[in-house]
Amino acid sequence: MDAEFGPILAARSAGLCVECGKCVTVCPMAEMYPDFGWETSPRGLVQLALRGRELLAGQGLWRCTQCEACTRTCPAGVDCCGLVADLRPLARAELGGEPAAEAVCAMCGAPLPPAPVLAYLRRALPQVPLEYLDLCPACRRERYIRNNS
Amino acid sequence: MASIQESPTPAAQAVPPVLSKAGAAGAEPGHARHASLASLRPARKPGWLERLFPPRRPTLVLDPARCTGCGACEMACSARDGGPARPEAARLQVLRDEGAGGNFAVFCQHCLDPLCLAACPQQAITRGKDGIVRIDSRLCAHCGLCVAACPEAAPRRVDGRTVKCDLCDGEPLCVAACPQGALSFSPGKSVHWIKYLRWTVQTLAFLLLVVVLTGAVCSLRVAGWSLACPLGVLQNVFSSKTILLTSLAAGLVLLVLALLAGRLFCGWLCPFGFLLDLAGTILPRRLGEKLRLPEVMRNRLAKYGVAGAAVGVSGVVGYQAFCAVCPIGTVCRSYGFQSTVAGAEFSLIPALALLEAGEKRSWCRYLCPVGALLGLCAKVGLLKISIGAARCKKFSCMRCASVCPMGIISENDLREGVSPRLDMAECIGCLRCVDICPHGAAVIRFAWQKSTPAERRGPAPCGGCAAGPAGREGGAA
Amino acid sequence: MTTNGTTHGVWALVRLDTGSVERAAWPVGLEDETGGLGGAAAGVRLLARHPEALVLACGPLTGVAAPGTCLLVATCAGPDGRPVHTPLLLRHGPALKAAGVDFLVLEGRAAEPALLTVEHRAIRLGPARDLAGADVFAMRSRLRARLPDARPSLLLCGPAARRGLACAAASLEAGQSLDRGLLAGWLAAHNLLAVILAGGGSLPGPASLDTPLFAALSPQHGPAGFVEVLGWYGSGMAVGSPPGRAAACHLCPRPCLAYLPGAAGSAGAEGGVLCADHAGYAALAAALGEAAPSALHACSRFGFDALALAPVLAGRGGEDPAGLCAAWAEGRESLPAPAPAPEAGAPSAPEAWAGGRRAAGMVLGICPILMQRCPEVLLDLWTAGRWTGETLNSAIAAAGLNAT
Repeated sequence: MDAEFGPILAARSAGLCVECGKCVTVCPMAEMYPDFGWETSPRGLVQLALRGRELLAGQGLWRCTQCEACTRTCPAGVDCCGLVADLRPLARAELGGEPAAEAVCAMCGAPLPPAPVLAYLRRALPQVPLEYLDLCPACRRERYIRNNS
Repeated sequence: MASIQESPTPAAQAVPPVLSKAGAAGAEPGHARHASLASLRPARKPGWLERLFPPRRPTLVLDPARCTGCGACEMACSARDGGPARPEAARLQVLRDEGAGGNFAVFCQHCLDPLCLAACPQQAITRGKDGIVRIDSRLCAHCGLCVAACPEAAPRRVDGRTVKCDLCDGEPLCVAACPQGALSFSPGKSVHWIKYLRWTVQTLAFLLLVVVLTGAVCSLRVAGWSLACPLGVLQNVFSSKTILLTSLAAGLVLLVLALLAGRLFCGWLCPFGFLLDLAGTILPRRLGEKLRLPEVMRNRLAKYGVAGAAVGVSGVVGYQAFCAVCPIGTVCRSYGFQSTVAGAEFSLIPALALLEAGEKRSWCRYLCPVGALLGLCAKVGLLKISIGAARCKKFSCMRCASVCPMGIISENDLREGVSPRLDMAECIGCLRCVDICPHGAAVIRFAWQKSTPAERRGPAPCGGCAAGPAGREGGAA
Repeated sequence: MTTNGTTHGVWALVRLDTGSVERAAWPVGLEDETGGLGGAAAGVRLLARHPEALVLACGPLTGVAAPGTCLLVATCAGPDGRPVHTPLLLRHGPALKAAGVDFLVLEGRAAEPALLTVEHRAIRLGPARDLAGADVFAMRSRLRARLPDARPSLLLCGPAARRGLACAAASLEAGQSLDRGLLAGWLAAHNLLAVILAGGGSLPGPASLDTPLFAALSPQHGPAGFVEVLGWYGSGMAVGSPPGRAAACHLCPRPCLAYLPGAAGSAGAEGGVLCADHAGYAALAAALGEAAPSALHACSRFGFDALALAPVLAGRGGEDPAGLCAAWAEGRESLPAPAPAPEAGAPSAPEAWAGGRRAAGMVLGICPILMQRCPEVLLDLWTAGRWTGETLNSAIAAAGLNAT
């Protein structure tokens, strides 16, 4: 276990996971991605994190919506959502910010949901131009004011 | 840390360490083909009854001219569940423009086809029978995708929870709290009188022009007055190479009407348009995607080409070429007491009517040369439809864009928060947008008027109050 | 929790020189000294403990779900050592209270231009070097661009105050506060260019809006548009047409503020001005007539006090007020010292009455204008808060205001 991983796993109590799978039942990713499977589920992410760095190279970390449903439901007290949030900077460094890098708001530069989540949104929404999707909520309102006053 | 190192379980060892999208299917077969919640939801297919008598769409209506930005609505909303008031946590948000003083509020529009509903992976968002779009808190995972999907980000994430306006089940507290009456609650129209008037006029016009005065659209002569299809007159001029002033005058009548009132003929009088509207109401919508004109033909300039070709060909062949296939004329001459149904002519009508299941009024949008001539006049005409700048909620309301049969109200403009500009050459004046707008933002205006509708004045004046004593409120002691 | 559950019982001391922030329960004895009230009374009491400080104090009713509860009072020591109060309207009071703090005491001088952000869980002091050369409009737009959303309330120290000019006023958003020089002077002297009140937390007190109170207030209060309130400042004065769209402070049922939209080509082209200072606008209108709106734009842009500047501008005849203000604020021309205000005689009975009402508003945290217009209804608020006339009068006396 390297020096970066250890403290994160300890802080988020990853070692307490008993693999009960309750987090998988509440996770919205199951409905978002047709290829949802063990290794992209919250349970899988916790277990893979315990096993080492391979996790950082995959897509799994970037599919999470950070909804905290898993953390709320975990009977063992694992903060899975926080674990993903903490591992993302490591993964970003590992990937060089390249494949699954988060998009940023076109106006203010605030981080938007990661690419797989945005891709899900574009799949789920009607196939019409949705240019506002690359703006953060605050900027959508900012633009609303600008266009209307 | 020791416990973490020693913890690999048998299940974890069984999984291949390589992560890939495709690997999921092999890794755990049980999860690969799981049933999706989305498959459990019945597709929304409005029946013809629902289309004829659409359900109410309740919504909040904001009059920005009255909004002073005092924030009473936010306070009332955030304190609804008995907790402490916290304006930042309210389901509607007042936007205050410090530059121009234009205040706005962002709140849920309770769309007919909500994008949040489409985006919700948990299927926690539903549109009730009362027209109110709600988040079911038992199902919500608070993932916030509805916030990202909504053009105005009307659902809000507050302390990790996702909340959304549910109109307080029809009695919104924010409306009660607004001291200026800027917010009001609209239960949605139950009687759309413009709609019923239009259908009545269309039916009567059909009966008159087709059944009683068969062929009246092409040409009609009553006691020395004559009326004729402008395209027919034009073709006649070119095919016969002679100009008759009487027939020119007859052709001008519809053009003058278009100058005065836009393509009113297309929306309210045209018998073929009536048939198309009828077909659009009756045909099941699931045919829609398949029945569309090919992409090359879906060009609004094509109808001018058709008009030019009709006139040109007439000049060459020496008779009114387009009239041989004209669906409007065919309809006119087909049903009346003196009907002359010709098979080849008639075949165009069902084909065009079927297109109604997909794009409304495809014929009128892309092909109709008569509409093209009227459109040219309407473009420089007297009236226009203005989708208002200030009162229009834009973003996700989309009511006008969803009912426009000509598809000229740009949904993208609305989503971007811009007032859409309507091309009067394309507008058939059916007034569906005016009828459906709950905000009073779609209005008929003269062409030279500014697009922004007049705003109501602010607080109502109240007399009888003596002026207070003079004094500076900056009370330095 | 203290009085009636409408305050947090928390104050914060910020040392601008070291950047240290200390949040604590109200100092012992403060509640007794002010009769459980706050606002201007608490400001004076805290000033006694920290004589060089600036105190931003909410009243017990500030931010409560009742009409007109918007007031934040800024108190600092005047040249003669006596405390001077500046009422801050709009949403500044609720924004401070929603940050979980009733009183904010600022002490010491920042070494370099600083900016204070007061949020729900954090009070931070940051550098504001980029604001140092900017006028008020530019300061506002730069801060807005930096803030994550458009909601926080801003208190700005404009160029006039930074130059130490006599007629300076602090700015709320892009309008002027009702500051007659001292607050802006304090901010400039202590190198604090902007205070951002971001709120974020919940407001204490009864949660649901007292809508009967709102309903009762409206007919009593009568019209309170900008022009109507302006009418108090002199009869027969040419005020002109209503200057802009109505705006209201926090929970005010009768908006009396107005936005003056920025006129293209004029000095205020970037944005409009919030007219919160009726007396100032009235003075400009009396002195300059038609040019009053553009003069107010110029005053707001450079952070001048319109009331104090009006006679000076009038003395310069037909010169362009925007150009004059720019010249003074940029130091190209020296601002003539305004004539000292005539010594006020003993107030007439109505004036004294109105003064008392205003004083009560300053102590309770209610808009002073609203307090003058409909005290009977607002009396309900006091009784609901279990404050008697005596407590109120003693608190007003403690605040050094004139009570009746």
